[in-house]
Amino acid sequence: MEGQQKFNQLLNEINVYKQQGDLIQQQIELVRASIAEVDALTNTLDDLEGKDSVEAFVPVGAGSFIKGELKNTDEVIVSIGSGIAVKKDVDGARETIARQKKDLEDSLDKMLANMQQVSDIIGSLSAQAEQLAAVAQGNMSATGLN
Amino acid sequence: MEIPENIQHQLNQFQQLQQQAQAVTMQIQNVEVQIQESETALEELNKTDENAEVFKQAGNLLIKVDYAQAVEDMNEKLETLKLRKQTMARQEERVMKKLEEMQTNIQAAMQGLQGE
Repeated sequence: MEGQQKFNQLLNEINVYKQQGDLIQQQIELVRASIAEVDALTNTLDDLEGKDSVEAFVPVGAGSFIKGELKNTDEVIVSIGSGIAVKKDVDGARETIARQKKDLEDSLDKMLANMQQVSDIIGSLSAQAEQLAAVAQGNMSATGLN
Repeated sequence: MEIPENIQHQLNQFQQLQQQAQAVTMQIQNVEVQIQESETALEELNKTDENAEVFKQAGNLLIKVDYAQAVEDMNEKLETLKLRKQTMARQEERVMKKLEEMQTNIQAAMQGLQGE
């Protein structure tokens, strides 16, 4: 009976850690998406550099676009978080974006480390649960033989 | 073993309080994220030239604001967030203390039942 109780407790713990792992995984995906967005912005700035005016399709909503022209590619208005944006030259924008990317990568590293920790705990608990199940199985077999 | 009504009532209250504690903890985490974001923005503003054009996001619009005003607003926002965090932390402390008390009472009541 005590073994069964311990087994149930282990299963509950495994479920809790699995939920935690799922949450961390979701956060990891979000951060990865943000990093990809920052990379895309860096590439766009590289492409626009040194061009006086650039033809572009301007999104007007509902998947529709209007052909337009970017008049000034020397300055960028960069979001710095908390609802504030600052006008910067391209190099300044690059610096800010690089800092943002570094922060995101640091967060990602921490999350991946957390994920590894959770995975290790789940592995350890699963091994304990399997051991208990094997012992219970053995006891049942022994009882069946008698 | 049948759990008496009064203990069942205590258990229900305990569960409700647990949910409350969880909600407060999540709110604190939320505020911490906002504090971190505001601190980063303020840091970034301090690195920016005072003559730079600064904008505030209002939905899809960008509204031009004065640099000094933006810094002042940011500092104010940070102060408010930190105060909110302190208040929530006190609330969390109270809830946790109450949870511990209830847990002790419930355990004592359950042991009393088993002793009978």
